[in-house]
Amino acid sequence: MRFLILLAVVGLMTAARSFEVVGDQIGSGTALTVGFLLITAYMTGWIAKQLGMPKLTGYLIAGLCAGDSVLALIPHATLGDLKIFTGVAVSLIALTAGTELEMKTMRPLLRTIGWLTLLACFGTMVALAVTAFLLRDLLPFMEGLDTTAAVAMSAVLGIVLAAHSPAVVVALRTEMNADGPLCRTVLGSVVMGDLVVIVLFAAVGALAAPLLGSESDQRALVHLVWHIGGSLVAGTCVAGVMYLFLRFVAQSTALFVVALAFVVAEVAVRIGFDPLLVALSAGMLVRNLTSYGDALHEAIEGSSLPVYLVFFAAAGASIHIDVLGIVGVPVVILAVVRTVARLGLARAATSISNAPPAVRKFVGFGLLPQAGLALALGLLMTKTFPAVGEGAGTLVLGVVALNEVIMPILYRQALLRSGEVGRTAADQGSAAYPTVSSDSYTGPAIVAAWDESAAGLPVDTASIPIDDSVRVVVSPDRPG
Amino acid sequence: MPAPTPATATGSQTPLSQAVPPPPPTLPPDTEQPVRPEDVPPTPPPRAVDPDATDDGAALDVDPVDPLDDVEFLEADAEPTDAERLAALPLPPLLRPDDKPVASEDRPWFAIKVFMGLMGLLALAYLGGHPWVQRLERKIGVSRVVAAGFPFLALGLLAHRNDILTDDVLGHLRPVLHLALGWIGLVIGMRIELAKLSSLPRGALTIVGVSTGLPLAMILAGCGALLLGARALAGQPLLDLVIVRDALIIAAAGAIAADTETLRYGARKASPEARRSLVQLANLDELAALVGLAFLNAYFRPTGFEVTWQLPNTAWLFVTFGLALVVGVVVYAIVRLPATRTESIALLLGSVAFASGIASELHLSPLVVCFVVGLLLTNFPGDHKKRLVDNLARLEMPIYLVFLIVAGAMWSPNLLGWMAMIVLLAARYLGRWAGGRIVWNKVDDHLPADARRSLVFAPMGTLPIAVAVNAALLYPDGDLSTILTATIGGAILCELALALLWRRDELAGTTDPAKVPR
Repeated sequence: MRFLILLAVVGLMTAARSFEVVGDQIGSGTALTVGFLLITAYMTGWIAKQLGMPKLTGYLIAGLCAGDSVLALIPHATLGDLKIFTGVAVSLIALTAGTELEMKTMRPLLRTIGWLTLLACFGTMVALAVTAFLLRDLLPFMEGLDTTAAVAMSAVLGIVLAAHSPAVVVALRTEMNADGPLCRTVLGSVVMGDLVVIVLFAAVGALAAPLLGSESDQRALVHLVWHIGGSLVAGTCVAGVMYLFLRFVAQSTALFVVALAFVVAEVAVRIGFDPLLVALSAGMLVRNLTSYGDALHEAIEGSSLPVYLVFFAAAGASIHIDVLGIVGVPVVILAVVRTVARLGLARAATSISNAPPAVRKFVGFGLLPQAGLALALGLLMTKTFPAVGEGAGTLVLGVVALNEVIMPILYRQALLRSGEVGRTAADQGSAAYPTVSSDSYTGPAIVAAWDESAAGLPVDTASIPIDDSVRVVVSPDRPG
Repeated sequence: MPAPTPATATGSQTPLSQAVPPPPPTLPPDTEQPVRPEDVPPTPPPRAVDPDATDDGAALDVDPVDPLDDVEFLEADAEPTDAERLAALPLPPLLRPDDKPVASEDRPWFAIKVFMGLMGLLALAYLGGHPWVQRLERKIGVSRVVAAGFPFLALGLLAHRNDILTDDVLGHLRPVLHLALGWIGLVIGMRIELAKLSSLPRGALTIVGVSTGLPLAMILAGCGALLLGARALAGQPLLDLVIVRDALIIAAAGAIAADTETLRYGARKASPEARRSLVQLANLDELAALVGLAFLNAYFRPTGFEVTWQLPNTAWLFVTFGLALVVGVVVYAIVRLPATRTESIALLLGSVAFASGIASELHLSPLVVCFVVGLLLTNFPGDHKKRLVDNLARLEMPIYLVFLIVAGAMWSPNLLGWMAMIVLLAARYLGRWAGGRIVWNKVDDHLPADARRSLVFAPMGTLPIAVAVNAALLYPDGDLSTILTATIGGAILCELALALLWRRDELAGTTDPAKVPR
């Protein structure tokens, strides 16, 4: 049945795309694309699961097939309009990551995370930079650069390509209900590693700019302080707002959190903050300084699936397979070097820090996936170094495309073998939610009751304004 | 498979109904290199054609266009370098920088303003749930107006005026409007269970036809005259179908009786059976309005060489309902898949977004298409309905509130709109009263007088706002400020007047609010 639905939806989409109006301004393509991606990504995720792959690989493949590289069902312009959804998704994913970073449970792992950041993150940067320098004859955009400029470019590439993907790590953890030292170490390491990547990119970028034909930015340090410091301050403010809401209102929390994620996504970029840092720090503060971490986590988790579906499918649609035809050899070499260096150095770091055996054996696989941050830095590179950035950005795209599709499969296997899968309660939100008979649906009044029951509070059905034909039943059953 | 460009007149004998996009340019025999996409100029603008052109296309009075005329071909030896090919690749649009970053010097103030806005929203949420505020709302008789979500319209209006919801942000939120319209249509469709309509009083269709048709005609005449007068005063041409279309939109929105709490409350003294009939009559009213909207949409739409699908207007009616049927069957198959609650919600969101998106993409009304989808879902057999209704209930509030905020932000009240609102309300009440007087004497009148009065003074609900927003999306050339002002203002005043009327009854002691059946 799922295959038939998939075919029907693709057929309808193809038909709709053949209709076009001159000067069309109604902007409906985005809603259509979101609906299409939600349905097809869900179906391909299910197929991927049947094939023993992570669902999110299925989501990526759905996007890849719908994108320019294969069926071209999603116009380039529409993909740009999805920024509203991907922006909210990034904020929600970062909030989730933040709420999962509980210092109390992370403290025993800090030594390992520190060593991983030092060795696996820095070491991989160096390995990638050296490889990029050695491959400079194969890289068209490095033609004509003198040795110093080539070193600078290689250093920037090394930093960008070392980025991780908290989104994949969080999504896989949620998908597999995994928890344990491995999951937490990986999450802590990718968050810490990405912070290092952001700071280093700003610093090295400022140094490399004059060497690569760009004007040196005298205010680079100010921008960096504003970017990092401002984001942390904004995160504190957002955490404060969330705390006040959870403390004094605590109704329709999911709606409020999504609205807040939208504000973070829309505003942060416009004023030079990093939405990821803002949301991450906000989530961490709520988790570690208040007693509302669980409530926030549950509110986000309820809306996580649509977010992941659209986010990863849109990411898949952005992948350009044709890049591999142009810079295929260097892309593959860089991806292999990144994998080998990261696995080897992660092993060394965990050995030095005396990490548990499961962490020692599998942590490197969690550090392999790449997605949003590397792509965003690739874009920033094109803006910062206009003379060489376009080509370098495309190279980054190629490496990320490979890591985005293949590495989650490896990390999934690692999680399965580590024995940490299924340790969290599956689909907690399904417990005890009120159901309403179809002939008695009156709408919003029921929502408040659901929110209360989802939050573990007793439902006062007497307080719900109900038509005489309405039946409210608190049912522990779970659809399907 | 890229989407084809709009059909271009080529002077061939291709029938209009089968017009297809021009074929891709072919290479001259002496050129071996492919044409690079970036070298192909955009499709030329459509040429004016005779609208009476016959189906065989012979009446086209246009010059043939050679698709190769403006195409530059690469020289055979102009092999692009890898660097050029790399530079030609577009970056993923998801990574494009945002259009309007705030200037560096304004950033701290902007951040503070947003923070203050968030705190304001928080304070409103806190106050909205506070028992003292709720008591005050009940005391002054506005609790139902607040419950209907109308304050969120004001919130959107204020946010837009204060540059918080800027046009840029509204542009980003546009897809949410399509989704919300589809959602509203689906919810209305799901309320109508065809099997239960048999319990309606004899002559129910006559009741709906006259008591809704009369106000519709009166609003159409009144608002049409008003719009015509405004045009005459402005010295603009009077013979314009846009006036008819705008007046029809206002009339369709203004004639609806909505199934809301206020309507049920009006019939509080009637028996449960009578109240159920009342609700079904209101549902039929909404059904009539949406069918009317489908007609309006079929006959007022871009045609000719502006679009790639060349169909007569009536055929668009078949496309509307045919598409809704096909999408409905697909959505039915989707909602019947075994799934957890979060998966069901994701699939429901996807289905509604897909249905409303595909409708909007074809310049059809998402309200109508999703309404039919909802109608099918609720009347098809299966055990999916309970789960569907649960999920609809779970997501309704967020989508509905966001919709009202965005609709409020789109709203810029004008004088003509306020005048149209007065005409709308006057014609609506007069028409519903007169229509009621005409039909109720002719049919089985087991609906008591109280319930009939409730139907005459029935609230408009939020469907009119959805109809107006739908028009704003589909017809950006219309007088949107007037349409939105008339419908939004009318809906609010209608609900407010009715709430105050019932409040007066309560104060007069005719009813004990605590004993009112809901």
